[in-house]
Amino acid sequence: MEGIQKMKQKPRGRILSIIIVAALLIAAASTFIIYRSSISSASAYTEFKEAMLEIKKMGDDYAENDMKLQAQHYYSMAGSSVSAMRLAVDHILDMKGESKYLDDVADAEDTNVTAKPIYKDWESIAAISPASPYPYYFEGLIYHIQGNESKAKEAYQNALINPLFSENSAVFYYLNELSIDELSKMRDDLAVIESDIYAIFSPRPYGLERHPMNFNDEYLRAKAKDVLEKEPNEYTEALRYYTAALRVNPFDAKNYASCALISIFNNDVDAAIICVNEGLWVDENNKALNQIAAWLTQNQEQEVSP
Amino acid sequence: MKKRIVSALISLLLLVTTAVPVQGAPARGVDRSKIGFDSLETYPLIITVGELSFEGEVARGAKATKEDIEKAIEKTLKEFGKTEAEIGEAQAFVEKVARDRSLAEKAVGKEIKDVILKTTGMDLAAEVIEHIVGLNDRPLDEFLLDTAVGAAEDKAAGLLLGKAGGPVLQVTEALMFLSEKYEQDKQRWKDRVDAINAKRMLTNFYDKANYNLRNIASDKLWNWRIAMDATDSRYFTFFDIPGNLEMWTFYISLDKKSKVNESDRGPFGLYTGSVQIKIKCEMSKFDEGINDKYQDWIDGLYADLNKELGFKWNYKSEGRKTEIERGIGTADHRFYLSPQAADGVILDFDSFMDSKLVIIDRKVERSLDHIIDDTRFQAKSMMTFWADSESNLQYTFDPQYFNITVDGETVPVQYGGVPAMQKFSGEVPWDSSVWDYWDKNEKKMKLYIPYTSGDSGYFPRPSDVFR
Repeated sequence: MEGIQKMKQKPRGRILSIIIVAALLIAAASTFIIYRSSISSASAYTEFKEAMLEIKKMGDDYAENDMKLQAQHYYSMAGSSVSAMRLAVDHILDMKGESKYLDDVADAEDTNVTAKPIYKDWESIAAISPASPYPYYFEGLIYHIQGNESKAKEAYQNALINPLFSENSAVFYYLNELSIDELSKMRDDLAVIESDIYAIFSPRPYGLERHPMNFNDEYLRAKAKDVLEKEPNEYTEALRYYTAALRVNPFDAKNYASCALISIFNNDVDAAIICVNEGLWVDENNKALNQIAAWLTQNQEQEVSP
Repeated sequence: MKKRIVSALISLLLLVTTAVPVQGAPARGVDRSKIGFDSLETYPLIITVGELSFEGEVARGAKATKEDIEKAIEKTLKEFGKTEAEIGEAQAFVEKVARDRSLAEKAVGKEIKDVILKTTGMDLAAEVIEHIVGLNDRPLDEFLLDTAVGAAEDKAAGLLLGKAGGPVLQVTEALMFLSEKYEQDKQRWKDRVDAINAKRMLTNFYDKANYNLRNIASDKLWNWRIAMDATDSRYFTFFDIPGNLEMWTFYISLDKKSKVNESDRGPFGLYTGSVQIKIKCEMSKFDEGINDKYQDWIDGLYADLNKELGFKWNYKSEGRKTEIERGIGTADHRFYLSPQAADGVILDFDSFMDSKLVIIDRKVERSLDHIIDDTRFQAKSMMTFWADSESNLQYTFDPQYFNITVDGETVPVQYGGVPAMQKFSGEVPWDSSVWDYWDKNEKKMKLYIPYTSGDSGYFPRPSDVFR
């Protein structure tokens, strides 16, 4: 009987130890997973922040070389993106009961917060740079966290139309899982970057209604063309869209040439000359720009000769 | 030896490049127009009352004084170890390099549009742009379809299900485009390195000067503020006497306190502070004219007698200068500047203090000293016109004497046993038209602000976006 009991006890002890070991292993694995997850989450934020600081630095280089248009493009991209993330963090903090940041958004001037950003709503942040997908993404993220799936989907979709954004970029849902302390630290960090950007760069309006396609210079040129087809002499209105196209994509000579031509029709030859000069720097072999330059030079010679 | 010669040549070249001023470049110094606050935002705000117009501003930031700018320049020159002349030379060098490569501004004729239309044989800007730029853009409708359907929709749905999120290193991968463009541009920068170096020095110089200026003027920073100190004037007729001048001044000093609606941004929101409107009347035409009016009236009354006896009366106007003023205002006004202000809004001043000051105290002396044969007529009277803000225009006729002297004997002129001139007084109803221009006209306010949305909004022109 004793023997039987011993025999029965032996496997029971073994099973127990297996269970304990397994439990320890599961606990260790869970800890590791949680640890890994927090590392990768923190890294996502770091990655985003560093990318934006890098874009700002590129803006600095352009500014140093007096390429103001390009500088503004980079600064506005960094500014709009960082402001969007900061506003998202403000909202999440508010949802967690820490309302002082969002109260500040509602203009409680004396609220004791580290930095008081200028841009305090999605519309104005999106208006800083139509080229940045992040205002749509972070706006969608807030709707997502709030459970408003239809609005979240629409905003995500608007971000994803922009090739500067991919689903790989949409990794910030984890912000909702961070503590108030972690979020507050992140928020202050972002607010400082924001104020650094806006200390050297003043966003200028585009005069456009917010639209998910505003990042696309081809779309904006199509808008301009549409204006001219409907009202052939509406040069100023067409200029609005051509100028916006140039600003959202200052790398394409087409935008300089379009702006130069519409400026000529709008009787602003000086602006046309600036567009041609700057455009030729971007692409000195561009046919359209060289043609416009030839016209301008030829006209100059005609003017000078008796 | 060869090395030494090469190095001496390089040194000489550097010396020539840096020390010799660019030939023909005008002597000049620091360009003061480049030193100021880029971040200052100012938008005009115009209030109209009938034909009168008053311009103020909604502004944020700070305005540096000329003195601040000079201080900032002096400090920056010291920090850079440069003189004003050296900065001017560097500027001239940069411009020379730019000129060599670029089209010169200003020299181009304005008829370029005609040249283009003639050369291309086209009539419309849209056709010219399409022809020259070679745009092969998609129609607008196709872009709009992109927003509604396609891969983005599926991906967005995926994000909601938590399916998204790649490796950490791919978070900002899509932004690589910006780095690529930057690298391409950097490559081209090498071609212009000399000019760029000089330009960089200048850029740094002006950036630093602006930084110094911000520090110097930082104690004058302010939040959004509405300020107006504007005057306009109009002529008006008072008691049928034209040519009086009303001078209106709007003093407004309001500071932004908070937003009212979540959608308010920038300058929009609640402002508090003081609003004062002063309407001051310059009444010299009235003061002169009241004399003429009285003369016409009384001469007309005794026209026959004057004619018969050949009386020529003298008139002398005297008394206190007429004062008419009105003040409308409050020291504690709460004003909501809404985005609608950009389209124009009607202002309501009904709750404001409204004080009126009227001082009319004019006297017209009428006198006569007339001899017919051996008879002498002497007369003197005083007509007083008087009013304050509470009263109608009152008048009092005060005969001092009307005597006749014959053969050295002087007696008062009488008619039917009573003196020919008797004291009388009366009043005429107040001419309220003096207040009507304020009371009856709408006060409209329009803010000239660039929209960040909306079709009719301001946007910077191409020449601005390169600055």
